[in-house]
Amino acid sequence: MPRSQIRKQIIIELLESVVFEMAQTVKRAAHHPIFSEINDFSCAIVDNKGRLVVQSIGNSPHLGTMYTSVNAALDYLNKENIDLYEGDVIVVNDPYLGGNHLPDVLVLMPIFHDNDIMFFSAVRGHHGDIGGCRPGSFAGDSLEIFQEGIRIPPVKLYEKGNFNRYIMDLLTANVRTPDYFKGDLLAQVAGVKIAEKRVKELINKFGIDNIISARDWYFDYGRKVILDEISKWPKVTVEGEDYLDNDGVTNKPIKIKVKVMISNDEVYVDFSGSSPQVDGPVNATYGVTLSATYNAFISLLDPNLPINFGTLEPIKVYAPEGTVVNAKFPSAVVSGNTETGHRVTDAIWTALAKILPDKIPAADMGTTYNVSAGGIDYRTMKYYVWYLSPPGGMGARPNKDGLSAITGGKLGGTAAHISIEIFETRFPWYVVKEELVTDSGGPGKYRGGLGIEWVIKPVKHSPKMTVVIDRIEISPYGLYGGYPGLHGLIAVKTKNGEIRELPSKGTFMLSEGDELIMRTPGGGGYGDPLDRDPELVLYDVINGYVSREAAFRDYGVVITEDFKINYEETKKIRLIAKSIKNRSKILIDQYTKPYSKNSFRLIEMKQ
Amino acid sequence: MRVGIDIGGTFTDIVILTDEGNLVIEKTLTTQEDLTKGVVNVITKSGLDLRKVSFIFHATTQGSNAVIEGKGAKTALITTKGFRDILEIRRGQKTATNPRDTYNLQKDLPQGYFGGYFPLVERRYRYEINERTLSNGEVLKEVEEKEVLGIIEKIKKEGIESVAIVYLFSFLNPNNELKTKNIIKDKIPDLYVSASFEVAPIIREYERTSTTVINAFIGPLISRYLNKLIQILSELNFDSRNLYVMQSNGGLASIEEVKSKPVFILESGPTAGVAAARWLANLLNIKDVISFDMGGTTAKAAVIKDGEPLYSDEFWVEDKYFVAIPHVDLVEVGAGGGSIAWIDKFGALRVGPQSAAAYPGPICYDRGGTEPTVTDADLILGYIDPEYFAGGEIKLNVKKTQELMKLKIADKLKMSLEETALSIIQLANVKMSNAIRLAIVRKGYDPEDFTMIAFGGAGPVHATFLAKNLGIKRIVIPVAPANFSALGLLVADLKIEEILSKPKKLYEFDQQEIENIFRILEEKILSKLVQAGAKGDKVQLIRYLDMRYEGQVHELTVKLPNKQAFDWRDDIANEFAKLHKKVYGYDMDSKLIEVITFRSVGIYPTQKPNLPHPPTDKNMIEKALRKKRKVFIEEYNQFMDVNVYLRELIPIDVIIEGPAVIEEKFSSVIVPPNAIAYVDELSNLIIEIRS
Repeated sequence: MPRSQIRKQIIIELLESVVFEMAQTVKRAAHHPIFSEINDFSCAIVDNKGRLVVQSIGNSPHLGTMYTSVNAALDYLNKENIDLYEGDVIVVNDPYLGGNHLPDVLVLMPIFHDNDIMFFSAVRGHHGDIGGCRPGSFAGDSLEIFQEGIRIPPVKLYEKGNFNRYIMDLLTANVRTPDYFKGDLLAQVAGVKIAEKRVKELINKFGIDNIISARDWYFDYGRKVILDEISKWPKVTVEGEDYLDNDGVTNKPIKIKVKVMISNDEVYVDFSGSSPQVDGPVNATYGVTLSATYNAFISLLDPNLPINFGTLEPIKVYAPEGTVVNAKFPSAVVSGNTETGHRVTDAIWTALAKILPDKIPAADMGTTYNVSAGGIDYRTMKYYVWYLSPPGGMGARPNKDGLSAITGGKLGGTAAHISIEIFETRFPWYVVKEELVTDSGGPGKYRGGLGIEWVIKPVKHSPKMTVVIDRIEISPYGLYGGYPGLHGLIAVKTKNGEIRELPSKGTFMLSEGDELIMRTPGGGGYGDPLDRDPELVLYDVINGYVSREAAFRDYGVVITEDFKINYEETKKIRLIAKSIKNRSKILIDQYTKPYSKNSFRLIEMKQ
Repeated sequence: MRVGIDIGGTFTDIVILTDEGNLVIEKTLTTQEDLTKGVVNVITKSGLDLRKVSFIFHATTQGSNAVIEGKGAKTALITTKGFRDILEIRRGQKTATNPRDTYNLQKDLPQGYFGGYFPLVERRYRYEINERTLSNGEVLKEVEEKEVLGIIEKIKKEGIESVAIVYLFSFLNPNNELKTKNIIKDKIPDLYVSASFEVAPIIREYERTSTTVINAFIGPLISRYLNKLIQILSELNFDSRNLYVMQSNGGLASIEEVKSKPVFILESGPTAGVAAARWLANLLNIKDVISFDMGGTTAKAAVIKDGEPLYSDEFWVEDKYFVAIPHVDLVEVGAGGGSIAWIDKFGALRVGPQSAAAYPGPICYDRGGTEPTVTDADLILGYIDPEYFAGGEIKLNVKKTQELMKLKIADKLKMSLEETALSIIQLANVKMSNAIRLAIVRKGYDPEDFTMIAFGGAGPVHATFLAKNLGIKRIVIPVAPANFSALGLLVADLKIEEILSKPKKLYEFDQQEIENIFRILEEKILSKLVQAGAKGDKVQLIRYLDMRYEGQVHELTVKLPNKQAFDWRDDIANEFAKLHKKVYGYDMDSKLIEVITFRSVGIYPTQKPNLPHPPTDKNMIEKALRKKRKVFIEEYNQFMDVNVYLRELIPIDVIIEGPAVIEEKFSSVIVPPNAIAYVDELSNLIIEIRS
């Protein structure tokens, strides 16, 4: 090995360090907890063709859209004859130009060397409010993108280093919380600027040729990483599908259909046959579908290995225009990013599970579970907006139980759910409970992770709520005989104790004294629960993760009043249970709603 | 006479400061099965008569070991009704320290059987009380004794050894926690009980819960250990009232303090090195320093700004357990000496993240390690001396190291042994300098403005490379760098820190209210310090406020100005704005400033050791010059014959031009081209790098 390769590795290490420095800069300068506490932003250095060199992982839906957004922005600027200069900073959020959804604003800065653009530094971050018809801009009832907030084509917030205050004024005038917006956008600018400075230092230190050859070596390395994994897979075509509950307008399931073709040097993922785009806001842009597809494959790689353009490039995606996975302008898309993206990954995994039973986990909470509220704080008389996503269960793994209570499920967890004490201090709300939900994890040889129940109530005001949630109707699937995880729930408990279920997508008012009950879905199980080690079932029962009834009903384990296993009875019960035809179909009713049973069965796996 | 005893993963060290100000150093192997044995061994080996010793200062890794290995007390947790799962839900975080784990489908968390990580308190032992305090500190529902008595019955029945109590908003109003604690103490006086308002009175329930639970989990163990240590020391005629323990905040605390707040000593050991660096920096009047401590298996860095180490109030133990206590912000830097070098299947040379740790350690330790590490690469390049490693406690096996390095790496890469070792070191260096850079920029500073104090067996070896990567111009290498860390125990001051969260806008505080809160904290500190033997009038009190602008989540800690202006809230606001601007590049309307936490620190200075003086005869430099040696010089990309000097013979203020090698008993330093080296009047080796 020539010593120059060590130099390439060193250059890449230094570029990695630049994106971490970017992320720290953004995080610490940002105002809104979505940036600083929930970490819903990603930093990247891409090359002049928009190819991902290094990225800090903030939020997984951003993985593919760095590429699509930068390319779309460059095309746009080219078409409009807009030149880029040193010191320019571009702002864009248009989902139809490669983006995720309007709240995700991309800030982009060209990095020049000798009058040529060599790289871009980019920060994509989720803003607490981007205008539109609902506080928090998560309009569960929007029907077109114009209701979802202000759409920003690629515009220069800075030109040649000069700040354009008119653009900032225009933007802040269109959002509900202008101080947050401005502070967070400037935090993003601080991020791209520090990266521009650092990358230029590296170019000066190592010379542009060495930087470029390091990039090429790294792309090649990334490509080897994924091709090595694919080479172990059978070269076949597998199909899969999964469903969203509904679009919030029409109460019928939305199908994500996928065909995965595996060959030696690529995987081709074809979404033909998926539902046409819908009226409600769960349409995914191409960028979202691309990210979700990348996520489905990247998470199967060794987590110590890098992710860059080379790793992603062999994953090819075809999503027919006009379907729910590649919606046409001006359809509503705000929750395509948060819900449909999940389901795209889930659908791909139902296909891959058939050929990779040792790798693919059962389905997770499968929803971002977005809940937002706006109202007047009686203490300050100021308008407030909050936006939250309580954590839910991950699916059981082929070799162990799923994790409980992870924000954003399978590909989340860098985000932190808000602290109750911060929440009550900052907003006029009261938290009644936050606890794991017994029996919410899908039974299996390995059990799904548990969802949580979060119950809150407004204090001295009547807030306006918006929710966009899924997996309320159709439960997260189990695999290889594992049962589904318990579906989610959103409901209001009124002053007189009446509990009223709410639709999973839409807006409503709460009254003082109402309690909002949020129950996140549990993860699906893996393998037949009758094969679970009775000791593990006992541990779950003693600790209240599983009830004694479910231990008997689903696992066939008989546990006595004083928490001992009755082995003899257990053996008998399990023998009988194994002989009952359609046993799992009958028992699955505990975890699914009648409405969803047919669609659920379509994705049930046979051993 | 004063004595420091440091129990590390591999060695138990003793440093003795004689009444004349001289240092005596000794080492033995740590006795994991009973740590106090090693203490007796090292005292015996040093020939120390404890009757002549006035103080013993102690550091131990026992606390963090117990947490990592899950070997603490059988612990119960009592929470507000509806919130017993706060501990396990962990605010939904799958990972806190490694974002790449987003894509890790095999991740384990302390949630049960799989992965072997149980929650420190199993769910069955988390009990709830129907009580509630509101966000303004008002008690909505008081604790009823009957309910607590019910829980006490369960605690007795289950054989619980330790209890943590954490109620919502107890940091604002501790009454409900206090009442619960009193009832339990009344019924079971010997039970170890930690209430969150005492351990970590800070906002954020998960962070407070986790910290209090860890305190309760290790409390009985640490108490037993300290009791045993006291007993052994008193058998050797030492008055254990003069025994103090190093805390994670770089200060010493009395035994009683540590028994009630053991979570404060989790990072006890590594912090001693920073205390030593801080002392040296102040002695040399250097304000901004990176303390870099690299031993055979780990490397840690800390930032010292304006003469004080930077503190942090949160860290994760192994990405699993959260701790929210003020501590010196130690950064585990990317790759330490124990980081394993390997070739991945795509042909790239990698260093870490696997570490050979203390056992089996690097190949050269000859204790069964078979994977080449950074320390092995240092040995191959002659950067460390096989005969004198760790004071001669371990003889390094050069032959075996070369053989395995060749077999496992060099042959596969078709590179020479030296080139292979050099590549490993370069990769490790870039990882370490990246980690240090991040630690500095995270706080809003520029590495180029810092001086590096490098120590530990391998610290001086890597220091010049790191400094170049970071743009640092000056490096200070103290005398006996391999033992410098233990010296920290002797130079640390008695230190007590009290904190209180009281979130409110700065200008909504009455000026007197701020003063009163600080006075209450300071009274507590003074009484603890006096109890620990300090003279009240010599105690230095420092006030800090953690503040942020409305809407921000992360606070900045501002040291309050000493002067008291007419309305010193304005002064506070100004200091905050200045710091915010420096860190983030902008400030905002001072009406938006929120105070979150009051911090008060009391310091009682201890007597400090003297450092030896170097030779003054300038002609000694010729004696110091030994031989020429082949060393790889990065700048010229080749091996070169360079001058080798023996450090202890180098006279004061004689300039040595790089490239050169300066050797000493435990370590050696490469002075790069474009750099000079000289020895100052306290025998520190100073290296200045011209750009």
